[in-house]
This record gives sequence, structure tokens and C-alpha cells, in this order.
Amino acid sequence: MNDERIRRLIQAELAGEISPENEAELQQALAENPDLKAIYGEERGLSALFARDRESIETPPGLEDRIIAGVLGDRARGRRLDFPRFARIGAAAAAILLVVGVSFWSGRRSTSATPDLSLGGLVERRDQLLRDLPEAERDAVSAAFAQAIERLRELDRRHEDERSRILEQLENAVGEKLGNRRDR
Amino acid sequence: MITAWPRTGTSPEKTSVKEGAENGTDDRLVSRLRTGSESAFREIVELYGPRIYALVSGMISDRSEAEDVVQEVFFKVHRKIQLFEGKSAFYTWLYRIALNTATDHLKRRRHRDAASLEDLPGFDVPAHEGAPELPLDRRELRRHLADAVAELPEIYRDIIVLREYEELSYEEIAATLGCSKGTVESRLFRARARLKDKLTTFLK
Repeated sequence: MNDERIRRLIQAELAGEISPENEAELQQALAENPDLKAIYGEERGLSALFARDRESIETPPGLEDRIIAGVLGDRARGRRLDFPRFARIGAAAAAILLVVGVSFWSGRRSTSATPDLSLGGLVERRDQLLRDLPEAERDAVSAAFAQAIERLRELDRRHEDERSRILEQLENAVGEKLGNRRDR
Repeated sequence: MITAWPRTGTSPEKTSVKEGAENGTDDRLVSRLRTGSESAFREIVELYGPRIYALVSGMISDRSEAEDVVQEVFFKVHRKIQLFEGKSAFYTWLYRIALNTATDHLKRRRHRDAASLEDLPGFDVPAHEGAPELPLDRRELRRHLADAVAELPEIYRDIIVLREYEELSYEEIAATLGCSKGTVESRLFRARARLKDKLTTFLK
């Protein structure tokens, strides 16, 4: 049995991945050739080193809380509350009503009659509204806008994926047609 | 199977990563997270946070750096959850994000270290606040092992941390990296051979 074969068997044994047949082969080889015990010791030594190091890794106290605060804190600039499903739907509907309402209201003062439903437009309108609203109402309005913005982003992502798929199909189709013509 | 956990006051019970995939826990959490549930995100962080920290620590010995990377991993999970298609188990997707994020960090660090003040005498790296210091020999081992792992080529490094720090089975590693069990076995063999050369002083 060569050096690589014996090392692979030892490695499989240390990882608990050895089959009964290979285990028997390994034990027989070790019994027949005492020199292989040095290799066995070396492989076990490396695994033991990792085990010792693994044991010394302690998760820093409060890690999970810091992650949650960091990630959700960042997100909370747009949305602070974990709404139940019905409230989210309500919030989304409220956002749409708000957008339409604000557009109508601002449309009466400007020449624009069409609400700007782009992301930038929504953000601008939200900021405009929040400036004028009493503090007690800001969180709810902000959450409604965040919900709508998130949905629009998702829509953009889907459109982007769909666009890529269409282009890919077009490329394939054109490639196939040109290929067929060349073949003829 | 996961048989060892990084010690922490809040570690969950020892479970296999496959368990969460097979009993539907992960799927339910992911579905809730997709709808924007903060409590689902909390559960995911509590379930996987210590595991990801152990994985990242396998290649980054500095605790504050490792924590920053873990934070970035979960930030990406939160931001990209809509892109997770559910074709593979959630843990494989999460581990891939963790491996890629840690790899990017190592690349940035190498670049930064090229002209770092820390290499000059008199500029000690401050210890991570709040974390108890390890005894010197363990700290030495931590640093040497993590540095040796970090210097491995990426294909070997990924295998080593998934096997030696996460204690994933060959099958779980194969699922995470999208390769065969035979490839896992071969790469692990070569990775260990390289490490033995680098760690001879610790193996005597």
C-alpha cells in the first residue's frame, strides 16, 4: 500500500467517513507494517491540533445581538416595525393611497398630473411628507413607504432577471439560426 | 454531523446543519424572512451565528476582524434573501456567502498589509475589547493555524474550514461547494498535506 493510499484511509477514518472494508484494509496494513504507525501519528496529530484550536474558539459574548442590531438598525432607517402580514398589506395599500393622494394634492399646485412612481420619486415624496407630518405619525408613514419601496425594488430585480432571460434566449436563437445557415 | 460547537453562553443545542434543512425549520425561517420578518432574522442569527463565527475564525484569528466578517455575512443574507431560490439547502447558501466574504476579506487584508504600519515595531494591534484573552500558547496556535489556513489556495481553504472547524461530513461539504464527494476527499488530502508542511513545529 503506498503512502498516499494509507494517508487517505487514515484521513477518512479520522473524519468518520471510512467504510468497513477500508477500515479492515487500514487495520491490516497497520498491523503488517509498524512503520505506518508514524504516518498514522502524524495525521492524528494534525486532526488533534485542529480539535484543540476549535475548542479554543469562543463566540464573543453578545455577538448575535450586535449582528441583529447592526443589520436591522441599518434597515430601520427605512422601516422600524416587524408588521404582521395583514398590517403589511394594509401598509402597502396605505402607501399607494398616499402616493396617489400626495400626487393629486401636489398636482393641483403644479402642472404634473401623473404620480412619479420611480424609486427616487417615492423617496423624495416620503421625505417631503415626513417633514410636514407630526412626529407621532411619521413612523407609520415611513414604514408604509419602506414597504412600497421594497416591493418596487423587488419588481425591478424581477424585471432585470426577465430582461436577462429574454436577451439570453435571443442570443441563443440568433446563434442557432446563424449556425444553421453556416451548416447549410 | 456537527459534533462540536464554539463555546458561548447562548449556543443552541448541538445539531447537524442537515437537520434544519431536512425537518423544514430552515425553509420556514427563510419564508418568513422573505416577507420581512425581523423575528425570523433573529432566529437565523441565533441558530447560525456561532457556526459562522467558528468557520470564519478558521481563517481569521483576530476576533474583531472575524466578527466584522460575520456581521457582513448576515448583512448579505438579509439583503439577498430574495435571491435565494431554495434549489439547494439554506445552510449551503449561507456557508457559501460566508466563505466568499471571508475570502474577500483576506484579499483586502493582504492588499492592506502590503504597506501596513502594524508590521513596524511599536505598532501593536489592540486586543478585542470585552473578549477574554486566551493563554499565550493557545493564542499562538490560533494565529499560526489561521494564518496557515488563510495562505492555502481558496479551493483547499474552503474544504479545510468546512471539515475541521464546522465538522461537516464529506456529503455536506460536497453539497455546499457543489462538487463530488471524491473531489472533497482529494482536496482535503492535498490541503492537509500542505498544512503539515507549514505546521511541522506544532506537530512534533
